[in-house]
Amino acid sequence: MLSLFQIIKPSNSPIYIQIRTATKRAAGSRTSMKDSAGRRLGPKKYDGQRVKVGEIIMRQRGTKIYPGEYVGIGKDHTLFALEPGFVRYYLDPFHPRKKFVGVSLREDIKLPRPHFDPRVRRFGHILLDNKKAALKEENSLSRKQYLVKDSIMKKYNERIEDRLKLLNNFKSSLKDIISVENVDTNIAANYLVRLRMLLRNGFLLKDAQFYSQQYLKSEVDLQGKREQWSLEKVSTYKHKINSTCKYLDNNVSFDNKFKLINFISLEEKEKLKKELHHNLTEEPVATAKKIKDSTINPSSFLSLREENKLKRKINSILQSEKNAKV
Amino acid sequence: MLRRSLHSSVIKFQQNEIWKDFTKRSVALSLRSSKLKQSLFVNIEANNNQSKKGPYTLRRKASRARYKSPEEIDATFKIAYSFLQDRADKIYSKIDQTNDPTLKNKLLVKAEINNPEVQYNFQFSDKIDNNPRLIDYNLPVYRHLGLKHWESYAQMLLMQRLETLHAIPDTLPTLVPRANVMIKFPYSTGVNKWIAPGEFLSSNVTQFEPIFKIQEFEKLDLATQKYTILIVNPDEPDLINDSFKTTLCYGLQNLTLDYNDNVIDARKFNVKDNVLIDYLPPVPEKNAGQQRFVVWVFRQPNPTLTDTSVIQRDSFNIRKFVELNQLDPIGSHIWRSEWDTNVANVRKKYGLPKGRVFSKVRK
Amino acid sequence: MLPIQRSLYIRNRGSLNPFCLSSFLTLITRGKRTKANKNGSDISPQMQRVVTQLSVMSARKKQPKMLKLSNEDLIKHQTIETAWSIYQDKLNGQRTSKLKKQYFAIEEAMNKLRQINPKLFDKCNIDESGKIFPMELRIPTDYPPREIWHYNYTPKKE
Repeated sequence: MLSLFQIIKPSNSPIYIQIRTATKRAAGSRTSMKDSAGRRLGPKKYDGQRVKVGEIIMRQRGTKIYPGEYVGIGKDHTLFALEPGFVRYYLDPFHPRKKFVGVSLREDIKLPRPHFDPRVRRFGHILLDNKKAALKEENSLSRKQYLVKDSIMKKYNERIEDRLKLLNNFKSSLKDIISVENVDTNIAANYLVRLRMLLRNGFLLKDAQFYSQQYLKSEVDLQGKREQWSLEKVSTYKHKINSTCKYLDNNVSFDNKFKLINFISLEEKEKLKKELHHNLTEEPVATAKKIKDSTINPSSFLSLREENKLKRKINSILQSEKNAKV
Repeated sequence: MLRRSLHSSVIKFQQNEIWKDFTKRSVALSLRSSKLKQSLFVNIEANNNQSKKGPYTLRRKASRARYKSPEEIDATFKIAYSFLQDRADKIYSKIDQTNDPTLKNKLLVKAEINNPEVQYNFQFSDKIDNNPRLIDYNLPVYRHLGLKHWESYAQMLLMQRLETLHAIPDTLPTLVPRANVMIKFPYSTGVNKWIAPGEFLSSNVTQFEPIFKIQEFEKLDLATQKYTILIVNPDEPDLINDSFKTTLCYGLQNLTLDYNDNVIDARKFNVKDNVLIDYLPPVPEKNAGQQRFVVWVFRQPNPTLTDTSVIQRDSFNIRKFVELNQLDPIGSHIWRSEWDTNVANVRKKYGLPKGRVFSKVRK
Repeated sequence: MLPIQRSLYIRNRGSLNPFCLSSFLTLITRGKRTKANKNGSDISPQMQRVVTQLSVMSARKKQPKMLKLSNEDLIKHQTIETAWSIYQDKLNGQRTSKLKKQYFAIEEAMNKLRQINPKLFDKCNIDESGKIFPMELRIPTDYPPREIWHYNYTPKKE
């Protein structure tokens, strides 16, 4: 026991003072020290009270009350207003076991609103009257848009250039194919560029023709409206488009690589196809050589797939011919 | 014991080949290619050696050589085919006796739905831009299959988009979708694509009117049935009330459809009789947020609209219009637009005033 | 006959498929390491480890591959399945209607019996649950047994 005691002997005092140090922990409840201060939970705004955007309506643990119309919910389930208005606590017949709090934009609106009625919405943005500020705002781009803008514009300009090249190309090549007196070259070239684009995108010929024609017409309509043309002028212009397109439809075609060629009708295509097939079965080598020398041009009446198949066939014919000679 | 006693009963088939008879039935109920037919019914008409060559639909010779069908499939198929055909024959004889059109329609579906040729045609050919030789929506069976196919995905997608984007109830209260409505913009950029509901489209794409495809699945008298199409934008800023108003962007009336030929473009209507209101392209203003463009397709109760007095571009009340004309909404579509740098060009093209600019932040 | 044909077809469907996994698995088996394959295996241990790791990573290898049918065979398969389900439906319908008929016939007879002779009716309805089929009753056979009857048989006493 002595070892447990320290005996302090002050030099000037004759009395022995005996003290007992804490060698055993003080006993106590393990959880009693953990009580925190109250978290100040509960509603911060009551029914009918006016709120601004972002004001807290309710602090809670878990969702005692759910966010309703124009009310947001935070990560600790705090409910806050998304729009300025009036707080409404309500029950929703679609969710019978939940309580909701919402914000109604006007004082006379009760929640929940009738289910099939359009929403009551607030626009919220302010019109910029100041011309300078408006221009600045209009020209402002998000960082993401700003970064991609240059590359997009570059590609766009390239496309425009290509289209222009194609347009000029059509204008010049039209002279070789048809007599240009019958058509307005400008309209014709524009029409053909459009038609080629639609065909490349997989539209049927009939649809492509109609849609390109319609495009030109609606462009004219809009131009007429803009420049206040007389009705007569618009209709003559449209008539011109009509006749040009009709003439082109009956006088030029596109081959399977979308090059401009002389007109070839569907029946003719079928006929040529049959003829080729016949020739290939009758005298394969001669026909194959002809195609190889491009005296026969199959791209005008065969689809690209058919042409590729034909090429393979010809190659095999010529190869076997070569082998036979050796 | 019970099962075996039932199984041992011999099944006898009548030799009435109703599925091979095209005197009364449409040709669209058969396969187009004779080679494919041979390949499908290879052992039924046992006088060819197709089975050695492999299935016709495998294009490459090597894959055809490598392919092996499950054993006994042809013999089993033969029995299954004659069993189903026999059933179909009985249903056809029942059809001849009934006069009730709805029952007749139902039976016609039932008689053909298990026909492998019909199933092949439907499963392996284009269901939207359909070839009437293969999928003829005039026939009840193809309409039924089309409906089921639409309900399996596209219809659900549409309803989800309409609900999440609040197109219902912001424009009309609700929709019970019955017809598949699709849109495409071929005039402006020439992109050949049916727009998925809810897609964001640039102002360049939407500068000219869309074309519509309305696929009906119900049995209707389409010769007399007329349709109305509206495109509304419920997101036009209304500064006076600090809210939004609805703009009518496009309106067509008294349109007729066909089960197969149902793409509605300028060939199907004329400006004088059918256009309620000209097309106004989406030209959203800067910082006005995204705008929804909701296409509504209605069946008309009458050959013409009775009351077009409420038709106006600005502050259009679509609910009132629908109520006045007793229109029946059967289908819908939606796309979204936002301000982009091309909007100014579109405005110039249409002679519209310069777009307003709003503050970026809501106050 | 339809059921037999179909069962044959079903049984053979997986094993005869050319795209079946079995041929692949003979090359690299991920089996237990035994003495036999410890020395005699044609895969090196390193390779084996790679194979093991890969097979752990990819779930695809663990499930049977999907049947790849040509378009025609797919349609044939679907036709067979529908025909089979319709046939089964028909059988089920026949069976249930037969049972229904039996049930109603019994019900009618019992009702009549109750009217005619209530005593007999009560006797008919005695609960016989727990009553076992007599064990000593002989199963009928094509030929009589050598010992025609167990004359000395006495049931076991408990």
